[in-house]
Amino acid sequence: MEEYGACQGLKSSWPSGRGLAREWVGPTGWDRNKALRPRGGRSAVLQRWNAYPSARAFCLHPFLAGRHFGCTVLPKPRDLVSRTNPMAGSQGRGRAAYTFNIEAVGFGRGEKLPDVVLKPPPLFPDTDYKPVPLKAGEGEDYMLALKQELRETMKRMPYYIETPEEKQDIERYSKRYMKVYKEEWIPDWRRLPREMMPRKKCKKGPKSEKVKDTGKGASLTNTADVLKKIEELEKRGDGEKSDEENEEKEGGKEKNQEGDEEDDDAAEQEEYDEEEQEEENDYINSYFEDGDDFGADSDDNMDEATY
Amino acid sequence: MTQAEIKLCSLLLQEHFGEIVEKIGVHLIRTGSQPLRVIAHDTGTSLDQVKKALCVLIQHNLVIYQVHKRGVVEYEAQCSRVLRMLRYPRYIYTAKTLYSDTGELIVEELLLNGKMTMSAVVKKVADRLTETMEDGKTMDYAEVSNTFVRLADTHFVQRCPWVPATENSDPGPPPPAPILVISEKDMYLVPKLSLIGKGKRRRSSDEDAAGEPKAKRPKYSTDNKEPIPDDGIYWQANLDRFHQHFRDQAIVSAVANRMDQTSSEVVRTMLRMSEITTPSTDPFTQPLSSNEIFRSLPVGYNISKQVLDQYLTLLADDPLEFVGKSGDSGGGMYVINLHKALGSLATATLESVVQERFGSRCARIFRLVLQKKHLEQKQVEDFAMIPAKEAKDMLYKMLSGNFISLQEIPKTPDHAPSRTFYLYTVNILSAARMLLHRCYKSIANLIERRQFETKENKRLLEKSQRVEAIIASMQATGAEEVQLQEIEEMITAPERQQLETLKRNVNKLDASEIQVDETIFLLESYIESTMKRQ
Repeated sequence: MEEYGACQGLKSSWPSGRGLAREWVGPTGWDRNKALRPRGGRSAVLQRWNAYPSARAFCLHPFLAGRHFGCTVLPKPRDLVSRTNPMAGSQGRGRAAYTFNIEAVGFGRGEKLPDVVLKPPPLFPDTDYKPVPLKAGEGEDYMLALKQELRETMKRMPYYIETPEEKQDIERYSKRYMKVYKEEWIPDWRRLPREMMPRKKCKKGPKSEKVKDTGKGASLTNTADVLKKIEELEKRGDGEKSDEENEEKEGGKEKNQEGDEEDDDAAEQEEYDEEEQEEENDYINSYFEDGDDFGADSDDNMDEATY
Repeated sequence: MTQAEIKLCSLLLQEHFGEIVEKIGVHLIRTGSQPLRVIAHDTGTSLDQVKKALCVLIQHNLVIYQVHKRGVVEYEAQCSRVLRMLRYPRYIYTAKTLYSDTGELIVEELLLNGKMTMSAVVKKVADRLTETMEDGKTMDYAEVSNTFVRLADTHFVQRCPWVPATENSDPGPPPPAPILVISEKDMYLVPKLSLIGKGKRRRSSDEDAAGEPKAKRPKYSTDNKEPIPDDGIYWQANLDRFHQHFRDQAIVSAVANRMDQTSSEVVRTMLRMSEITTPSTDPFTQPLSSNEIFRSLPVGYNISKQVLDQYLTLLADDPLEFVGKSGDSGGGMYVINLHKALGSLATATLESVVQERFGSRCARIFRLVLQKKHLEQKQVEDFAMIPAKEAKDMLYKMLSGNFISLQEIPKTPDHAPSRTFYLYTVNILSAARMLLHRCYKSIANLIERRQFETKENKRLLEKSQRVEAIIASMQATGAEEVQLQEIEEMITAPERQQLETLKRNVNKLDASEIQVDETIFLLESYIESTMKRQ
């Protein structure tokens, strides 16, 4: 068992014989420094105290050796008990001593302290007092109706972006008639950063004159412009492929769905291009498309059969 | 941002804009300012969807963007603005009380759409009003415009920052994002439009207004059929002005509760006079002389000058200190102590919470500690005249609920516990913060419960909607009573009961949300006012 800092309170009731203090050897051997100043502070002491419920069994006072120390009130670690103080005022012999005047916090001496709570408060605690009824009046009723109406209206606005559902096995007949027809909303591109615009072949809205950018920015945008041209040319080849893919998908709620598919590819290609800062990337793009080359290169190490 | 706030923001965004926007918005609130690609990467959504979500959020003033060096644009979410979405019904209702249906619809359109041009607002509101009017009557654009101008004059709507029109002297490449500016004097400047037209029913063809070009250079959008005269000038609802109005309302009703109707009218007059002159964050209004107040009293309120002076003296002497006397010239100069008033309101909220939660004796102890600032355990028992055991119990209950805190005053430098005073005290600011946090949690719980209830009964709700639709269509085509009866019986009696219960519960939950939001407003105003003063 380890030392108990709380037991230090006992020392106050020991007679002046300092020799006795030195001779007192606890269960594991008493290291004076460690015992006097519990390492880890108050929380460590509390932890140890809590961990050993039968701790009191070990509080053997040398004077009462052999006799069990009937502590009715042991200094259970409470939030209000501070660090142990070897120089606590005399609290009476044979009693565990509080290190401060317990009356100051309102507990009488010798009184049973409330139990230590070792778990979080309950999830749905009982309330002693029921809440007062809600305010009722014309204004409140109107606001209530408004709130519910607004909730419904918001769902029908074009700003409410619905999550694309996975395609169901059986398409319900009623679904076609329950679709909410939403107005298309097009933001004012002049007020938004340029990267917000979906990259399409036809740019919407006029470009606006703005504050001059730094030089570094200029060079990047120049490269970006060149790359964009190149990638537009590439896109014309890709555009046909993605069109075919889109035919199978359900008629999307957004008109721009096709455009968005292209934009995704275009955005990814552009990102790739910008990172690489290279011109034509046909080599890298088609590296894995040509299966024969790949197989031929690594024939040496392949254990599986080539088909 | 605390976890409770983030959770509440997430619920609000999901209800109003859907899951994708919610995911992006919550991610931005959690992580602060981020560029576009990082957002897409961290949330795992496609770039395209992130763009759409950000467009929606920027449109509604929930996200702002900033250009950093090297042309990187970073987006930042405004958590407090997201929480304002709870208050939309209150804003709209206030506009209704001040400017009747037209004003109400204008504010509603602006709140639902984030920002709009004046012509668009006027057109939409006129259409909506026309639909509600009797057949043959239509709403004139001019009337709606007038209400709009009045709203702008009293600062309830304001212009959004716009793109400055540069002279194009240097042909540099366009920057990655426009830098929007606004100046104080232009914020409420209404463009000179002459919108001629009437509201339409059922969206027949357009014969839109021929507006004149105005101060700003107009930019013609290629999408619409006609050029929009005030293109590029967007308006938004000015939430701060609404908050100022709510605060004034709260002060006036507090005075009315404490004293009488006449004194509340006097205070209302004083507040109205200092609406435009005093910014809402000042601790005091500008001093107003008693003569000015007398002249500005509402017409029909005939109290004599002496009576007014008496009322003012009474108000100034009141211990709550809502009104203070700052001088004697002009018949007495009086100010309204806005900060003190907010403090009293917050304190009253705390007291009432303690009373409802712990009982009236606890409330007595709480008020006692508030009044005496610092008290020892023994003194509490003596002053409150409550037996020691119970007093101790109550004090500890309040202490663990963080309404009351302990202040240690050491007698010796080594802070020995036996030689330290422990005093109970109420720190209003921290208690207000704790209560505010709790309010956020409660609203999040209320919303979740409501969504749960609705989901549980989804099948039943859909069925009842279908039945209603059938009945409506049958009535339109002219059906007999018997047939209608049959259709109505499709919903059985127990189901009807269930629907009734559901409706009652949802109404209760919604009403609770609105009321908790009022408390949130008071506490937030108080905390903001205190932080500004420090």
